Amino acid sequence: MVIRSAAQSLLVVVGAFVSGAVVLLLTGHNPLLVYLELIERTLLRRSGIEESLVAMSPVLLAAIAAWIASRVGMWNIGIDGQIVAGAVAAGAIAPHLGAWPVWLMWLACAVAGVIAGALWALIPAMLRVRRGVNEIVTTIMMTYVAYSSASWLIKGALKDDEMVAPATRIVDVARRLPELPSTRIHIGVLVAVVACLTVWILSRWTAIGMLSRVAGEAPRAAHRIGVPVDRYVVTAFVASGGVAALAGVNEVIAVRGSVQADWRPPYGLAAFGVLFLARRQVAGLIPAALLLGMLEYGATVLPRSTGVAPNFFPLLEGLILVFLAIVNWRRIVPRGRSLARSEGAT
Amino acid sequence: MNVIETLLASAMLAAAPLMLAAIGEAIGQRSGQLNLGVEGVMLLGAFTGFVVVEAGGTVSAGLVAAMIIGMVVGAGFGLATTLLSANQIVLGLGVALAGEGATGYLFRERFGLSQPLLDAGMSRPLHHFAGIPVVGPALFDQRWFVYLAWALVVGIGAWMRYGRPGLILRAAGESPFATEAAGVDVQRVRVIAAIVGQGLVGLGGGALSLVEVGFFTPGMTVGIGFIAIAIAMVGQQRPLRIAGLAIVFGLLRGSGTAIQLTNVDVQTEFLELLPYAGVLVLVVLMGRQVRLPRALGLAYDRESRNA
Repeated sequence: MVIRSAAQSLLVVVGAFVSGAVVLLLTGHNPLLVYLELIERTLLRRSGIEESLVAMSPVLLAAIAAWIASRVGMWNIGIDGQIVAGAVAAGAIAPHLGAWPVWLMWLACAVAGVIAGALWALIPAMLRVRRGVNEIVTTIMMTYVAYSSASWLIKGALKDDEMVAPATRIVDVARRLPELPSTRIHIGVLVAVVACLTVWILSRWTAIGMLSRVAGEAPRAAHRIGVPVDRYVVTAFVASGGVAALAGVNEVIAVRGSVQADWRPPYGLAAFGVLFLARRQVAGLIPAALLLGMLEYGATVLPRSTGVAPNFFPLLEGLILVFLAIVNWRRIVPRGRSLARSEGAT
Repeated sequence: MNVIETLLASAMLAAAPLMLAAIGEAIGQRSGQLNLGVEGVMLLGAFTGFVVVEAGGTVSAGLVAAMIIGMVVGAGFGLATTLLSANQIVLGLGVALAGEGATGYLFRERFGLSQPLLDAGMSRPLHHFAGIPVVGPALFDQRWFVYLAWALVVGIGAWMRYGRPGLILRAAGESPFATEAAGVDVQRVRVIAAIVGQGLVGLGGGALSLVEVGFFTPGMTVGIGFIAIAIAMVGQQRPLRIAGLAIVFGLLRGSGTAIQLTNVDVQTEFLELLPYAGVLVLVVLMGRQVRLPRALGLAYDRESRNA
């Protein structure tokens, strides 16, 4: 069963890469060389494996967020906005906590970021259960509101005058998350993996996990047996936004040290590629996210060594989604609630 | 032109690509398909049109090419979601991402980091009347494409409302099984709706690069495609309402420039927020009016019986 699922997902990836190869051929690149270089740079070098793991962490967090929302039958398409909300919150407070012990600063940043991301997800969730407004549209709009309010804040109230490009004040390298001994892998990567395991345990061995599944897959039945469906939907959606925001926090306290005004995280749509490559199995999220992490890292190194424009990699991710949708095998994507009504709304 | 005249004129111009895309999306929604790939299809249209004109084609040829690429993607979307029962939401997200990636990739491969501008002069057929105060420039000093867009809006609105094809279209989205029972091939209706609808989306994208700004940059739609989906829903898939909402969006977007002209001290980033926040507020206020076809998003599978 597991092997069959993995083989089918692999087939999707192969399909996307073959289509990508056609695009490369048509634009005058040798696809074989490009793909071999991608494998060499990401899998055959120690630094490549480490950087791919680092690049995996935000993709994995975004995918967990997508998974949590899909568990209660909701589409969180505003993950990128929640990431930005989390990053801005962390980037706003981090420079003011210079006197605090570092671990306390990290904790404060994480808490602030999670709250910001959760609030960002709360609005669409409340609109869904209270007013029956479809969450797909509202989450997307919230993302663009997040982008423009972030650049408004960063170019105004949060601007660091020492930086040329508008950004929040940078966190010293010494005060960022430490790396595992003699590697480039920062602790944030472990946090993402631990988050994944936690969600897996919650979903598998607790009543909350079971009931949230019922609330998502059979809302009317859940309502009959006394499950507060709306509360599950809102809670899960808020948790989804909070987990997504951790990816933004990581960006501030581990990767870049600050948020730039024009930062547009590329993880929200990729998260759905991961979600369905993993066939909505929590354990599958890690290998699927690692694959996309390799593509993200490849996009940063391959342009220099092969001359392929970096935009090729989002194209590959899009093709993976297209193939996933087509080769749906009827089961991996939830048939879903009717988009026209919300059963939860009373 | 004074500030208000400039604002109204730029709102009318900005509304044209958006309303075409939103009406194209609305046609698909009416037939029961939610296509979240509008952003990607608009970019494909914008890029294709731009390449055609840059290579020496006329603006009209560029717009036709933009429409054709939209129709091709629409055909693929329609066939995949009917014959193969592909999930509409996942496929739409894939189209959005792949469209953005493909246009960005092809643009960078061909033009590198340069930014060619087009000298796409378009006639302004009614400019003799532009002297009328306040609304003159907005209504009469527009490029011919804007009038074509409005003709399409009115034509499609009448066709959807009064013609038999419009009725069949709605039936396919509301109750595909009953429609099939009445002797209509629902899958065919949906494929045709996807082709026509995405053709309009592609045309809207072409209008963005060729009519509104005269250049192409990767990711230039900055969410307009998603706004189109939102106003297609809020406008209840009715072309005239959608056009009205598109003008509201144009006003919100244009107000940034207008306020700067009046020397009021507001940060520009705050003004960029207006269109998105405005659409969000609109969705919230009119949330109860959002009417979606009952079978929206569900693959129509003749063999299954759960609808």
